[in-house]
Amino acid sequence: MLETVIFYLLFISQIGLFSYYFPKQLHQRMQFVIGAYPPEQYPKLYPKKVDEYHAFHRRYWRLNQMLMLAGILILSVIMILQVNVLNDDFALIPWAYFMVQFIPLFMLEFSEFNQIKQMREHDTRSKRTAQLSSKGVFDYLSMGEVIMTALFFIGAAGIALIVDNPDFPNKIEDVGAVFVLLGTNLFFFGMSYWTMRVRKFDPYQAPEDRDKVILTTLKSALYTSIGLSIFMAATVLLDANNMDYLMPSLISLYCQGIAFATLMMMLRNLDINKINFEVYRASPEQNIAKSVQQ
Amino acid sequence: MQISVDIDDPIPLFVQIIEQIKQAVVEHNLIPGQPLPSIRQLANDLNLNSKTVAKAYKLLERDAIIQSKGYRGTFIHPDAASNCGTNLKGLIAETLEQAISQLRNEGATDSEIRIEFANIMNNRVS
Repeated sequence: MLETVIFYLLFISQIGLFSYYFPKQLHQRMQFVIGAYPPEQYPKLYPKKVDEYHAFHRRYWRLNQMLMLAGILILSVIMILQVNVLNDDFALIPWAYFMVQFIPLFMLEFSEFNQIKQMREHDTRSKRTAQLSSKGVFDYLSMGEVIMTALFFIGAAGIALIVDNPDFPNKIEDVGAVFVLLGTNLFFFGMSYWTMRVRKFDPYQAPEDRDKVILTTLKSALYTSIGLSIFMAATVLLDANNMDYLMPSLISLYCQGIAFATLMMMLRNLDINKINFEVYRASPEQNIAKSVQQ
Repeated sequence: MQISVDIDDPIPLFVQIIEQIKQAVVEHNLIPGQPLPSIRQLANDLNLNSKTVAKAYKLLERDAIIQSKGYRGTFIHPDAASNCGTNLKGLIAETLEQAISQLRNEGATDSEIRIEFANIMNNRVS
């Protein structure tokens, strides 16, 4: 009974956190930017008509509200029908719901990508600027953080190898969990390298803001990697000790943990009040062109 | 430390990069051993062809302003500050001026000098 209540509470938290709290924070952030940095004064930030941004923000918020209702509906059905949530097969529900909850966030990412692409297309400046310094991973992360992540990875991989292979180290047959860990960490490594070394996307972005974006991406990758290591080790241990019935709760907890860590870090590190919006302000040429048109 | 290039400027882009790096070394904004961005990264950031940045880096390396350390990256040369003083452009101009005035004194015409200069340069290139 206690396990069931814990699952209900975790699922309620999952609904509230990712279909209400974070979407609300992001929606307020977007609305704040349009209000505080209007297109008339900061035209470089708005390659599209401002109405399109308002329409997108409304769509984003409505979609999240619909997903919140869907979550409440799912939970109500589970509670009314007294569905047994304490089995491994049920773990798919919080996981699938989490994936659906992330659709608005993917929508946001895709829209941002398009926005920056259009900003680049509208950028007609002949003068281009770049930082003449090379920064490595350790300019953003401490050695301790990297070592800790590596230790979590080694620990989780070790637990998976030992628990999944009774004859370890003489005979190793099941390396599925290790491959998942390795693949995901390689993906994070690639993503971090790409963020650090590949072209700066926003053509106007101030160097200090770019540094903040890189820092946020690297830290998110690091904490997600640690979260995944803990999750994989816990999964293997639960499975080995016939405690599969805790899997739905564990998955919900894991999804919330990594998403909370990354989104909170994003909101905190990329504090809207500390971003340099002056780089998007109208250039003297644009002001002259505007006055001529008037 | 920032670098900027103007694509409408008649000065070639690779020369703009070279001049700014040399200037930064002379003004101690770049110090010996300081890492520089990779060719690819700088080309991406400046939205230039990577061959342009590669050409600038190659010439800076030839003049011992920067040094490439393989996979570790590119760094400011330990003797960069003193090597920035070597004015190759000035040396070339001075040497050619001496040679041309000597040839004129010997009676060679400007067109003969130009043709022979072009022939020598073409032969060396081929």
